[in-house]
Amino acid sequence: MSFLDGIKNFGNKTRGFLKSNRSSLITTAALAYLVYRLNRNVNKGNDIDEIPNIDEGVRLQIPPAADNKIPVLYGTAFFGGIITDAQQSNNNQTMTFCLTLAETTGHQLSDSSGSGYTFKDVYLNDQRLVFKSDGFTVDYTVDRGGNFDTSISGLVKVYCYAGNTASPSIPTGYTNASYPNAYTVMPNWGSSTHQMENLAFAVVEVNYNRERGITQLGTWNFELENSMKQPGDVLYDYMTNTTYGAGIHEDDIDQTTLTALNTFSLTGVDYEDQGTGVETLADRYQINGLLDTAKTVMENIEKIASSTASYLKYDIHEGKWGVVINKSGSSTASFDDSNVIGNVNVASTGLRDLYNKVKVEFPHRDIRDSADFVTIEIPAADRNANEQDNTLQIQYDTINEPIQAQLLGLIELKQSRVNLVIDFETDFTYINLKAGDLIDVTNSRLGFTSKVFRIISIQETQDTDGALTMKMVALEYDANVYSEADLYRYTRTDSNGIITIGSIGTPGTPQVTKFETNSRPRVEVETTAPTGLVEAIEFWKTLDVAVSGDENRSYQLIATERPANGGVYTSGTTVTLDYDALAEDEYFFKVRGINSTTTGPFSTPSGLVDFTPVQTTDAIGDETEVDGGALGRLLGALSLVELLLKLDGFFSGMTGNKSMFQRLTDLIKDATNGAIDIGASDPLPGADNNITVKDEGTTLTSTPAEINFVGNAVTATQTADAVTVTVNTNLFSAGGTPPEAGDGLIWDGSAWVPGSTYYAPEIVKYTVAPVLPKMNIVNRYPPDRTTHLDSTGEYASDQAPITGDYYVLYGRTATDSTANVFYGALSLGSDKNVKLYSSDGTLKETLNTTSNASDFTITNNALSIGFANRDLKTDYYILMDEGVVTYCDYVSPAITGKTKRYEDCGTDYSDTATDYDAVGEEIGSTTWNFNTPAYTTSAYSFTGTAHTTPSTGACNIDTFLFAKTFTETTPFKFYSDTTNPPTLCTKNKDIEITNIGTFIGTMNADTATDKTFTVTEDTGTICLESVLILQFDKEVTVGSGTISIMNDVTDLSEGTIAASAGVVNPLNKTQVIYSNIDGKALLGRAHYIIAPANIVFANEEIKDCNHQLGNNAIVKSDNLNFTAASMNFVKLIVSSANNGLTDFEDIDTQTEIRLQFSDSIAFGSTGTITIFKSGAVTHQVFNVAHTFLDNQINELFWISGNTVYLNPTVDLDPGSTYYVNVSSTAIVNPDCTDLTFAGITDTTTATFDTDPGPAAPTATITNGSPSNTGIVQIFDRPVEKGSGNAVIKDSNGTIIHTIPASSSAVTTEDYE
Amino acid sequence: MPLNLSSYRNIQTNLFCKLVVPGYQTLTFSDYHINYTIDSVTYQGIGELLSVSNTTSNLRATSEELSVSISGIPSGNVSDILTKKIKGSELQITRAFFNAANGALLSITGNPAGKFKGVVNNFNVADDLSGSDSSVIITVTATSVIDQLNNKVTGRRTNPIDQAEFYPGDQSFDRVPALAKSNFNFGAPK
Repeated sequence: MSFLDGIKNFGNKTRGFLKSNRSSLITTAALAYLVYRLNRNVNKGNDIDEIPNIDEGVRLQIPPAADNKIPVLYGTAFFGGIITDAQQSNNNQTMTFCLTLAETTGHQLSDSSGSGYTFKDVYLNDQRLVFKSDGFTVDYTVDRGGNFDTSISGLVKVYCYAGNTASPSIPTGYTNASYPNAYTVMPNWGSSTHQMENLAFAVVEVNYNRERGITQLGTWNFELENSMKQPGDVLYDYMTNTTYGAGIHEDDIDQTTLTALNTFSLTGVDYEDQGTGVETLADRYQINGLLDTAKTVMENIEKIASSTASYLKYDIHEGKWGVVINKSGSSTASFDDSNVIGNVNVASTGLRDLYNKVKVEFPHRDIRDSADFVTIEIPAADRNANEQDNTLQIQYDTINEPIQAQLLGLIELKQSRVNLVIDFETDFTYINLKAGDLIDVTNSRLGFTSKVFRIISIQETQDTDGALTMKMVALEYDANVYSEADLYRYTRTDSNGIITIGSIGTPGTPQVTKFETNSRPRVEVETTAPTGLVEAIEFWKTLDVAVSGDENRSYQLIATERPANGGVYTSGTTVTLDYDALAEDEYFFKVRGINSTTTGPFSTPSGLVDFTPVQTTDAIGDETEVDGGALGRLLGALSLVELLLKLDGFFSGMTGNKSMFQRLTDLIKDATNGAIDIGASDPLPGADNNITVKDEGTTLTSTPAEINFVGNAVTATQTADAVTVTVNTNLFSAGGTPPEAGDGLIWDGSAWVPGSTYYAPEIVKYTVAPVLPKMNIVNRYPPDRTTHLDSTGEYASDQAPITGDYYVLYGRTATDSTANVFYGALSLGSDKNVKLYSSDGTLKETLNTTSNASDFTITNNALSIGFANRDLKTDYYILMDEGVVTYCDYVSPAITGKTKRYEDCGTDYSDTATDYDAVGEEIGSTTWNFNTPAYTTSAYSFTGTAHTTPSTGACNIDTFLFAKTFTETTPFKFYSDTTNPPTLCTKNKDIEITNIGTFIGTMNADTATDKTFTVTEDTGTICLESVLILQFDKEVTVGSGTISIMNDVTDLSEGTIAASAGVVNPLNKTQVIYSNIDGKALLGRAHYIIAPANIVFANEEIKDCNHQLGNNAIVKSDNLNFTAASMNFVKLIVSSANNGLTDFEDIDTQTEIRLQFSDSIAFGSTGTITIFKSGAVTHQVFNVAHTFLDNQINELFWISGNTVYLNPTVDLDPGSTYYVNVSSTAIVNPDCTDLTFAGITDTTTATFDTDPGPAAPTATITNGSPSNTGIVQIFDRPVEKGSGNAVIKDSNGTIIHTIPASSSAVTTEDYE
Repeated sequence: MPLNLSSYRNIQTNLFCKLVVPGYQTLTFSDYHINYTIDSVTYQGIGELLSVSNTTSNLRATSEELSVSISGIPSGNVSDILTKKIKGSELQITRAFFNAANGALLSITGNPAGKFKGVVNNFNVADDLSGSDSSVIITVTATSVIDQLNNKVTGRRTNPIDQAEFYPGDQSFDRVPALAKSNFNFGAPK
């Protein structure tokens, strides 16, 4: 029996005292409170009213105390531990203590795997510890500046554990199968009595040593990683754990939402890194930090949720915990007046409470979790008027990634400003909506059209009548709140100013070179430095070659290489380790970059290195033979120079006379600051005077009295006892002529004047669009230094003779294999200069082809230039004008040396810098630079190659075409924006060419690469302004003769075109473009084209005045037929029914009038079409200028094809004669703009008569009674009553009765 | 489980309360007009004598309080309430939807649906002298478990008591109290 028993008569005891009775004012006030609660964040500093138990800025170790609480670590963090035991040895020299770090966590929701712990680094007094190979004995420390300190080596040991005292967790990078259990290293601990279950901890042994500064336990920090870091996993672990967490049963957790949080947290976020540019943060949300178990579990859970921009929710209906991720989404329900009950209220946050800046504090992983912050401020333009600064302070303990902090801060700040809150009531059908869902609201009074809100609360309300309604409160939603734009990751500096690194890239895969059989068997391991601030590269090796999977192999650090001069490696720098401590075995190597605060990822392992060392003492000894072949060449000139350089360096700075040994001892003594001093005695007998001087291995003397440096390349100077040997390093280019006796080993370039200064000032550097075809320069004698040798390889640029002529051999490029041929003699050009300069720019001699013609000789294709004798050992260059030699219309090219041209949007190019192009482009690369040697060489003598006999042949007309429009399509560059910043763009010109012949004249006829154009071929109508183009079956040049336009009816010529007036289309050299046919053809008449032979010459072999293959004559049977356009009036069509009637009598007074022409027509820009009534009475004028511009039609008159349609707006008079006149400019040919209709000015060409109207017939009545029968008049068409009278006359014509037409006695009816 | 009522122009809804009183019994009652069985549990129909306050579902986990008021309880039964440990009892309220025409449970997914789960925080007993028979009104106030977590602090302190609580026999923290007051002559010659 319960207290419920005995209830009766409940129907009379209804109670409604719990029913809400709040006023609307209270409701509004509550909205603001809800917004406050929604934005409440346990991490917001504004809301924090107590000091946290863990100081995130200085997570140091904590002295022993019974009320210390062990934190929980998720992800990675730098922190100290709590001392929970300490033992001192009997002699007081060794202190061993236990640092309890964190609770170990459970299984991950995401994959059911257990938490894994990794000790990444251990720090003592802010210095990173590097252990010996056992993984616990400290070898040395590294401070933030990268300085090594070995003072504590062997005196400190750190043992790391995770889970219990039998679970060692060896720091990253070390392997030790014999790593001791904690109860064996911590004094007085036993395996069963001291288990430290579910704890991460370290046992530290410190041995006192005053000399090395170990007198205290020091401050310890650990970088410890827990593999559990996905927010959903973390929440699930903390919510369910009964030791340190909330102890919520797993059935009371909505695991689906946590899994969704994991999934969303794993999505990447792009950001810009200060050091490396655009990067991607792989996991947008991670939990990295400690949870303070002294805080309430709710506070810690909300802390985790807030670190992932999520709301912790509790479904009171289901009694389950979960999260709502604050992210973008889409509406799940729509509300408008049809499903909203009652009022819709809107409220928002007050001006004083609006945040406009956020400061997010968090432990920064790049500075060992020291406190850092980011601040974000909204643009001033987004503030409200009179809005004061209001900073939202947020502090996150469990994140250490600045991008995550920025992202969270941005969401919080933007969300705080999207603060419109709406509340309304709806019916029971929306009971399935939950807080966190997105809805959209349409309300005309509020101006909302599908405006999206996020539900922040739903109240189920049931009144006394049982009506169930849902009262919703929803917060304004804006997808921009979740924007990931503008994330930026700064490289942070710590308090010492040392740059810390967030990311070091992956180094290149090690390449291993073996030196197995050697006096020092070794390997060279070579890699490339990764990106980031890389202070050193660590080299690691492993013997676990049989182990599958590199992650399962144990590697050992074998060496650390640092930049020779300190600092950091430049990314991509090759770093090589010379390593000889290898036994015979198989190895893998891998490397990674490090700096004082972090380490980068390991490289891909090297290939398998099977190393078998064979040590050979004195592998290269006195008896070692030198390979006289390859080695001899190797020790050629370059090697000797290198040796001299080394010797120079070796003896540099030496004072007095010393033997090599003495010099060596001095260098050693200097390098070691006197630490190594062998003394001045020379232990090698006779070393000071037993220097053997060799020439490429051949002993010259072992008792030299002097060493004499000779040759242009070497200069020896002496100051006091110091001898300086300077070696000029301007080496021969590869393939140079071997030096001869007395010649300089190295070209003496001391007088060389590089760059633009070696141009003769009068040289035209650039001319626009040269049109004359150019010959080729086949060879120059002396050869140009660029190629060093001529085409035969016999003559060199550094062996120019100082006597005799210099030569240029010319040729031409043909269209087939017969390149560089001539079919006749070459000629000397007129008034052209050839100038000889020394390389310092001094003009030595000028020869003009006119005034110094005798100094030029042309033999076959060879031009000899008779300069005066030159000097030995001198650098020269020659400049030549274009056209020194000519052949037909060919000219020899200029030799200008290098020059520049500059792009100019207006004139294409300029020879000076322009606003558009200040840098310019180097062109005119033809140079003729050479030098005379130190000795005389034989003068040149060349006779060239005799010209050849041309072949025979012809060409034929292929087709013809007409075109009126030619459009230049040359690409050009322009600046799209000249201010911020200017952008150089390229597009094609679209300019109509007014004279195609003139335009082609400006093009390079040979290459046609400078300009381009398109031809719009006439199709259909051939106008008189159409240009004739003949196309042949071969590429041609223009010939002579006359092209005739023949009348097809009379076979007489209507006009001619001179063949010489044609221009070859450079873009299609089979086409010749002539003039138009205006005045040479008759409008509307059929024509054909004929022409004699040789109006063109084929280019099949080569264009040449000595070899021309003319066309066969063009005759009528070639059918080059066309009909010129016409513009004739054909006929008038008048019809009221648009049926094409051509009867010009009795035309309806509302008729449409058509004027049909012989060809397509268009309205001209001016002119009229007028309808006249006979007697020159204007009925209506149609002005063609009043037509619409886009299609030149209107509703009164228009054109369709070849017909003008007129639709008079004033009815024509019946029974009248009309005619149409057209002015001379009113009608034109749409294709031929010059072709206009002459007009109609007479009264007869287009005339018609209108219908006179119904005629009143006469009715005759005989012996009848009008009163009985009436009088019926039958008309020829339906009629209506008009005005006037009907009269009845007797046979005498006397009116006996008059009846007005308006009388009711007069009726009309249909007659069939 | 989503509850889709969009196709219904009218419905009847009733609340079913389940109060588990430790050491007493599980009380099940509803504002339905007759006794009704849901999931093999029969709820006593007390009709309008049962009044349940509105509930609100919030985006953030927010402590929620709900009142269940039962009228018409005979005065003689009051002692049962006062002597039993009502406080701390688990209260679960379910909402069921019925056909308004015939009172049949709607056969749709998610029906009946949970309305509230929490723990009784307090109760109130008041005389009701308005009727001919003397009776009382009992009001039970329940809170969601959020409140409990708001005040819950867990974790392990570094002392032998806490360690023994979680891991009996483990002496790892036994020396902490002593160490807190100890000094070591580290390096001092002996």
